[in-house]
Amino acid sequence: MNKVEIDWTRCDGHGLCAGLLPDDVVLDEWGFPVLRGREITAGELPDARRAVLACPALALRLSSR
Amino acid sequence: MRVADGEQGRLMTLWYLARAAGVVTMVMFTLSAVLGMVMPGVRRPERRFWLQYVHRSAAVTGLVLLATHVVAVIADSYVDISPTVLVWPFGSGYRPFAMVIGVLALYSLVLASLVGAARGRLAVSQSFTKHWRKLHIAASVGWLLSIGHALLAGTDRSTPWMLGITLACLGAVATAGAYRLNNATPKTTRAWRTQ
Repeated sequence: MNKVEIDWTRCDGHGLCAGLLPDDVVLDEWGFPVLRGREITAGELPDARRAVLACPALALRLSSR
Repeated sequence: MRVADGEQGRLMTLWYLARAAGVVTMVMFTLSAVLGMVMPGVRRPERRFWLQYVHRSAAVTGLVLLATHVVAVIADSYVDISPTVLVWPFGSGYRPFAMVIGVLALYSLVLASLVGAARGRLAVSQSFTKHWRKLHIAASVGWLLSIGHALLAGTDRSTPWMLGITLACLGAVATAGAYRLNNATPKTTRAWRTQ
């Protein structure tokens, strides 16, 4: 059970997550991410980890619950 | 340059390797520092992703070369540097003050790389995300100390080309710093100003 989460106190709307995880994150009209709330499948896990690493504000994280 | 024959030749090779690795380490960390400083001014996500990629790759390349520099300089017998300089650089037989600066730079850069390597793993931790930027300053401190080390140590330090490289590194980061101060003003503040 993996999902991506956003720490809204840190998110600055850089938009890198949407480019790296287009199936899970879309950007709203101000460039802030909107989560689709999908499960991250095992095959998508490397991409999700890459997106977490790429976030300039450290606002994206992967939760395994 | 001495004529390389047998034992002597092999030992000198290590000394040349140590010097070359040191210079390229400084250039790599400078590249990484410059990219890190201009990053906040880049708002296009894709461009930012690639800049970030080169920023990290340059830093990792710099670390590998730094390890090469340290190992070669200790293994080499042309200058008297024993492994103990890593904990007590004051006792170095070769330019103790420059060694102190170099070892402090090494500590800072190793700290910065450990923090960087843990970044993805610790993104879930509140206290880590809060202090990440402060911890990353260790990289800047390490870079500055390495410039000091380059000016104080080394056979080539006062040759025009080596001095040129060191000053170019310093200038590049100064320019990037000025660019950042000019460009990284928060958007809200800028909007306020233009109103």
